[in-house]
Amino acid sequence: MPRSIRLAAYATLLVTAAAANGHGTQIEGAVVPGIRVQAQYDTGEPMAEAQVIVYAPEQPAHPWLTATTDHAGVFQFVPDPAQLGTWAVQVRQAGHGAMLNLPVLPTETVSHQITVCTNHLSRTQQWLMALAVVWGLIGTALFFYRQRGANASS
Amino acid sequence: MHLPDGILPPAVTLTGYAVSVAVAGFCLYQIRQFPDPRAEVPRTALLTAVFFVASLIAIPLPPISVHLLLNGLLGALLGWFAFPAILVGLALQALMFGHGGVTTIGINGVILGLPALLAFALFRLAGKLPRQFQKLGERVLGFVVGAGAVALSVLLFAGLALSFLPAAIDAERERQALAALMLAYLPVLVLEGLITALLVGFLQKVSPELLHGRASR
Repeated sequence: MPRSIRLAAYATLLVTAAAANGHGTQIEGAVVPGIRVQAQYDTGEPMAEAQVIVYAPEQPAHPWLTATTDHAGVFQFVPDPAQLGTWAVQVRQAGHGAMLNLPVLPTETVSHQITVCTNHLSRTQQWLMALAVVWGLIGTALFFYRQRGANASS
Repeated sequence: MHLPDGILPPAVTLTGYAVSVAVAGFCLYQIRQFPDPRAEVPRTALLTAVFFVASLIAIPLPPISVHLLLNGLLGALLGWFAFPAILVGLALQALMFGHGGVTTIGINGVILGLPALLAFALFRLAGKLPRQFQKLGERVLGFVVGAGAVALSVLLFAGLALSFLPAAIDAERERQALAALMLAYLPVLVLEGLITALLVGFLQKVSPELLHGRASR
């Protein structure tokens, strides 16, 4: 089986096959392999209208595609099935952004739905970690404060 | 206001590290001249904690959100300790939360730390004012350095982001996005000026020695 056909068979379904008729129009859908990227800030806000650059595995220094995310920070594209390997997607807006490396393999069976986000911690986890750091810094302050007091009394 | 990984070329991030290390080294040299450098560590540790947490709290200003920087406040209150404190805070934010980037700790130290040192230099001028104007002068300078450090950091951030745009990026669209970000930081600028001025006024009343400690000499 040709590689491109295998990829198409194994990879993500972005569009469900559909056909509709009515009022003299006809819409046809097709099953295609693809990658869906959802870009958001670490506050959870979507990176709406952010710029996207896609680099293909064979030419990592030259953009293969440039586009923008939609209002929900979503961008999707269909990689060239002839170019297996690691695709890179850069999302950027106002000096913020991230680069994703997405391996596209012939054995792929699941959807690529990637969230561009600088961390994947819940709010509770973030606050607990922040409290731990603050507690450590307060401890440092108290340690030196106590030491200074001991030196003064001796 | 933290540049993430992958935005700047490696040469720029390496230069950022080199500048940050050099400035931190100079600050540590100045700190070593104090009779007891450890005496300032409690205050530095507490204000590092304030800086660390303040940057993590997002203030929604639709369509984007902003966060406090407090680098002017640290500069005014910590003096030479401000730059190392900011570097420690940035490293913790990057390593624990991915806020900013690991490769950009140096350049983010420049963006936030150099304005803090300028704030320190400017705030120190209050000591040269006639005694009857000193308290008022400190409050006014508190506002100026609190707001000015934010303004300078925003300008440095935008300048660096625009100076090293990849060729594939639509420069005009990025300029517009950065202009929107800079406008969003105008209220933060005023807020930080007020916070610094109010804190200076509070410390003048309750604990003047904290305001005129060795670190700020």
